[in-house]
Amino acid sequence: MQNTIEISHVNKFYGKKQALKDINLSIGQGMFGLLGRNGAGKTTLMKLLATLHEKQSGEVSVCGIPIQKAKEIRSITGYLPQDFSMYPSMKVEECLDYLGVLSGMSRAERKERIPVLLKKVNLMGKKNSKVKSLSGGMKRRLGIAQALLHDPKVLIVDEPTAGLDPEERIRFRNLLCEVAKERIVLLSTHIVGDIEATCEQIAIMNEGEILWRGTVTELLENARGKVFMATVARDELEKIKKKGIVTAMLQQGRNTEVRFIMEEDTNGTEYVPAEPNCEDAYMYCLHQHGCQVMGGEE
Amino acid sequence: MLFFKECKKILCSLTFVLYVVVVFVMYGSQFVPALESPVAVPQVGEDYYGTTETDRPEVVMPAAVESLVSEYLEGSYDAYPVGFYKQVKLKEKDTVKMAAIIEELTGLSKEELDGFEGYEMGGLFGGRDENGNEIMYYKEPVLPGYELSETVSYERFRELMRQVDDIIGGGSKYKEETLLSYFGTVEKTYEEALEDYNELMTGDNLPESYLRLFSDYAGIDLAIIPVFVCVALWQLDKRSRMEALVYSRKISSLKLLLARYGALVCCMAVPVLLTLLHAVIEIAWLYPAMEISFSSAVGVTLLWLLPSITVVTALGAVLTEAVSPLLAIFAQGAWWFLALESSDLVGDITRFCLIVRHNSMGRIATFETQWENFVWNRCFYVGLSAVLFLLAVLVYEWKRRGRLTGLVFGKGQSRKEGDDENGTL
Amino acid sequence: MRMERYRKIIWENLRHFFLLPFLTATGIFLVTALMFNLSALSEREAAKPIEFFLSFVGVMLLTPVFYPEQNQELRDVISSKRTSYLVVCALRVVCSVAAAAVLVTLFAGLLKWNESAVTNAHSYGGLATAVFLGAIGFCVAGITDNTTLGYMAAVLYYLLNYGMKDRLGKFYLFSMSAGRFEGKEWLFLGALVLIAGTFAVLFFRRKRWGY
Repeated sequence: MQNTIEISHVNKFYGKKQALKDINLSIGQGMFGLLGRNGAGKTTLMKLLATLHEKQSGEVSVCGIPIQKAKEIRSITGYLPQDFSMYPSMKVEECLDYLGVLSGMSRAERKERIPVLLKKVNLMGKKNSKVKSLSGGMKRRLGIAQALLHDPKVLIVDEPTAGLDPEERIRFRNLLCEVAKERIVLLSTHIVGDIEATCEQIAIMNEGEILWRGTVTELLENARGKVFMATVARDELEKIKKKGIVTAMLQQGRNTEVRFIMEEDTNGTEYVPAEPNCEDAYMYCLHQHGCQVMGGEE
Repeated sequence: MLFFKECKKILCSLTFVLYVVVVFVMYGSQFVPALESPVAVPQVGEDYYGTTETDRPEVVMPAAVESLVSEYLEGSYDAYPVGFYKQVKLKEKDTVKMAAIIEELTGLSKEELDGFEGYEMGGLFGGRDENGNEIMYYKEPVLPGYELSETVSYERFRELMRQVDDIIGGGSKYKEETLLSYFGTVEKTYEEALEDYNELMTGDNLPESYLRLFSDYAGIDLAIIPVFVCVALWQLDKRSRMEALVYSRKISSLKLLLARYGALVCCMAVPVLLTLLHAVIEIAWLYPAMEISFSSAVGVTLLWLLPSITVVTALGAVLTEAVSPLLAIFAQGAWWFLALESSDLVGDITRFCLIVRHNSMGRIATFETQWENFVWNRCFYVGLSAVLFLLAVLVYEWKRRGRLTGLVFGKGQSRKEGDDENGTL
Repeated sequence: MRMERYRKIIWENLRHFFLLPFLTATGIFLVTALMFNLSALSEREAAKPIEFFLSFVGVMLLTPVFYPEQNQELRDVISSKRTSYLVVCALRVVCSVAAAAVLVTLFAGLLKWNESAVTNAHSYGGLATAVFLGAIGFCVAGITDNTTLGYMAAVLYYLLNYGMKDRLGKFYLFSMSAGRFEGKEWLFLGALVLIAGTFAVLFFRRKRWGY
């Protein structure tokens, strides 16, 4: 059985609004990041892969199985939605047990898998606590445990780190990386740092379209020579804002230290070229594809 | 203004639309038929003029005594101690007392009663005739022969009936308030019917009678459906995850909830007032020759119906705030049921029953004797509304300050914001 | 294997979500049984507690079927599992109808034991009434995604029966109390249409709109 997700010419409408426009994508083993603004269509695409939405046209297959066969797809995919929540009055272990039943696992399988996963996500000590008593991070970990419970070939996680504190976030990212060794993990986020830390392959979505597809290195390469830094006075800052995209600012007395993206250094040698980071590269990519990008307007 | 903003939220909600539909449909199906034609003048030679209650001893005494002997032999007594039917079986000590009363009334001794064989219950029976159609027939009970004692005066009889009711434990057929409706109901004569008609046509009796019937019907719906509208509005903040945002505003809890509560009561009163207006116009239309003054009748109607809305809304608010919307609905449903079941159609206005009933165009005197109870009852519910509302404010204030996070469903029941924008509530 | 899975799903649902509705329904059953005279009733009188009170058992059992997953994200998680969410709901409906049948039959047995004139029509008609009233709550709760509205709709329909009486025709709830013991199959049919219709609406809506 092939180990890829193949998406070709997929369209999806909500009434008149087109949520996905002719999506073509091939996703292989390992971590794959979907990057984009809120409302870019990431969640729709992921729900489509988790068989929660139907496409209107195009072909999708997951590990060789066409997406129409929902039951088979569901047995090989695990899904963690954006705001994971569970029956508040169920205990952690009971929750996993119930979801395991829904996934069609036998009693023996559940008995074996549940403790393994609870250990993996570090919730063993909480197995008898009610879901409503868990903190946000613990809930998210319970979410990843339930998604992995039936040992899926494909794991789909939607915005897994939004709202977590830095410590939980790093822990969560590491967990995902570990999991991705033996399966396809599709991760969506609007937090660029997550992608940088975890994914090799990424795609950038905007308004239902795939703008860009490649590796993180390629994305960075793409923005090389377009990122500058300068320390400028207020009126100069205004000029920069007009011509480029400001990605960071730091007030230093009367002057401002500013990091920005610009097609070329129009001012000769005044701006210092900088090594692009993922965030710059992402912003540049959006800009390159004609998206309205507003930077530095906090 | 906050009040109008709350009104807008209510008016745009699906629950309120349903509320309006119910008020109109119930009005149209229950009260409007009474408006089809004016009350007819009784004519000589009609078969049936309706029934009335009489206080004539020769009617009441034999009927009550027959029932009492029958129930004694049956070994159980029908009673409605809290509005619900109960079969009372007496202890030996009480049976002796009961037998003594029967002996005083009929001369039958306890031995004669206990030794009687061949007793058969009387009353209305259902069965089927040869063709298999269901029929109802009346059967006389088979009782030992007796004569009513002539030495027992009517006053003594009434006194004995009070004792019987005490022995049974209250709520029996023999109790003072219902004795006549059970044992004194007779068909009206032409003269009585005419007298009733003439009484109806004098003074404010006509509009008052009509609007009493109107209030009787409306009072039933208003003892339950406001809770739905109230709960829907009250949980809107929680369901759309607005609580914390609203909590942190400057406005005082009292002001905020007063606007909300006031808006609920006002909005829910509007459709009721519209049906009332329609009723008033139709009544005036039915009797073009009469000059009808509606002022006192409308006053009574408002006193009748508004407290129902305020108290149901207040209870819904406090329970939703403190515990859960579902509990509010269940509790109100249970209360409504008990109230509906525990009140007789006419002549049973008590001080504490949520639903006040007078399901008759006539029986004016009966209502007048209960006027004090009526006013007491409605004022009590106005007071209770205020207490419950203040309690809701208190709970809200506690939650706002973080001293209380909801007793049962305070956490984990919220939904994604935006779900309620389309007014599904 | 599938039966085994369904059995387990039913068991877990009974344990976690069924208890409260069932207790409420049993409460209604007990109140009806204790508060009302059950002995030596005629056919029509015996129909009264069944139609006027016991019918709420159906509302208590069927309306909250969707309640545990009123939260969209939770529903997404459940929907992403191999067993379809609607199958889980269908199993809950089956349990609820079965529980209603047990309570109604038990009540009819209680009446019979007390020497009232009960026939099979009473249990059959009583179940039809309860399930129809419950199906109204179920349908509205499912389609509006709001259980409160479901309860409200059921209570409103009940009230409507007080007011409109026979004008509701074949869907008049209290027909046995009015002496007509035939025609209750319309209520069953109505309930079936409401329940199946709700599932159809939810099925297509989920496919198309994903909620």
